[in-house]
Amino acid sequence: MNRRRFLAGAGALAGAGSLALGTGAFTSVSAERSVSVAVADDFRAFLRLEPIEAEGIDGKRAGRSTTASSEVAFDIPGTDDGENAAAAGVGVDSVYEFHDLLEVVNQGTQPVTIYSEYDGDALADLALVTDRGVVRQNRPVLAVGEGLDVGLYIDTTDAATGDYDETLTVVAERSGGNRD
Amino acid sequence: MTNRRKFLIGMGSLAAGSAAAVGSGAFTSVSANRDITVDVVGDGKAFLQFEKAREGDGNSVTPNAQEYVDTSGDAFSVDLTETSEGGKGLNNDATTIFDNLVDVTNQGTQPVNIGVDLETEPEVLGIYAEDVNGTQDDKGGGFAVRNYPDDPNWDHTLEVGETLQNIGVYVTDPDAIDGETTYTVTIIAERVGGNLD
Repeated sequence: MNRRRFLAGAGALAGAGSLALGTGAFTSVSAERSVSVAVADDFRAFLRLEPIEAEGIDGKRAGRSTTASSEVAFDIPGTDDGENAAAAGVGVDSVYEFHDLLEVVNQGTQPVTIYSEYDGDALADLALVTDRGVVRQNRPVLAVGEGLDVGLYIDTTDAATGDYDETLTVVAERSGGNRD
Repeated sequence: MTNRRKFLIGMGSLAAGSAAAVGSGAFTSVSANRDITVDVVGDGKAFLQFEKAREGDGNSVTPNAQEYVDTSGDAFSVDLTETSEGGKGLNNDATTIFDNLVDVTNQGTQPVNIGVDLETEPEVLGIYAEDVNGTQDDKGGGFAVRNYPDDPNWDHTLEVGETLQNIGVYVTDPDAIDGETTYTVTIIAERVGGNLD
């Protein structure tokens, strides 16, 4: 469990009485201020991402979502005993949905909108999905403290067979956008 | 006829209730990249497996599957345009039945309902399973699912590891087919109970 804490420079420029008359033209100011940043594992971060250890066959874990490192990762097919050993993957020219792989919790202080982005080209589409469908136009909003079970939507239309290592970007954005 | 398959699988939800907010901190946005390993495989090895239909004893492929089903590519297809004996097509003004073409197996981890989305089934033919012949009205009632996704009417459920055998095609209206035509149908498999927990 890698919980790192980062304390950046503490040199404060205590702005004493620098009262100047007129307008001061300056080209640049470099002032050090302290910022405390803690980097947490996914399961305790502001945006908490926690694998749902759903039951596979015989009540065993399927291992489709894991946190072997500090970050959540997904494997389709799953890597644990609860996965169907006969299945080598998703089929071509298909749309697969694997629901309830991950719980997303807003541990911040404001409501946030959840969505995902996929920039790869191996698959026709890769996105988060909820029981209400693909998280695309219809993006769920999480109140403070609220959690949501999400899964993966995988579209293999025109995809070749193969083993792909893809990246999905999970975004939580303050509802209403970044502008006040 | 190439088949476009759609497989929807749902995972059993582990009651994920209590989401206690512990951390404090206002964040405006978080963007986190996470890794996903996906294996894309051919029909014979996928979560929803399609194979040439086998005889009841499971030991040999049926003659019709051997003749009309092509599994040489990643996605299976059915070709009813000619036979190895010199046949070049369907009879006009006749109903032709092609039994025992494809078997489908649930290689996922939960029971699924399965069927051809009736919306995608062409007017001129029907797709059925086992010995359930549909009528002209319900167009392949043995295998099609009606009213998907709003109020699906499933005829078949597959337990984990279970195989639905001998999916076939019957052509009811050959006169409406203009020469050699390729149709694509969507096969849906969805967790029993639907996608809602």
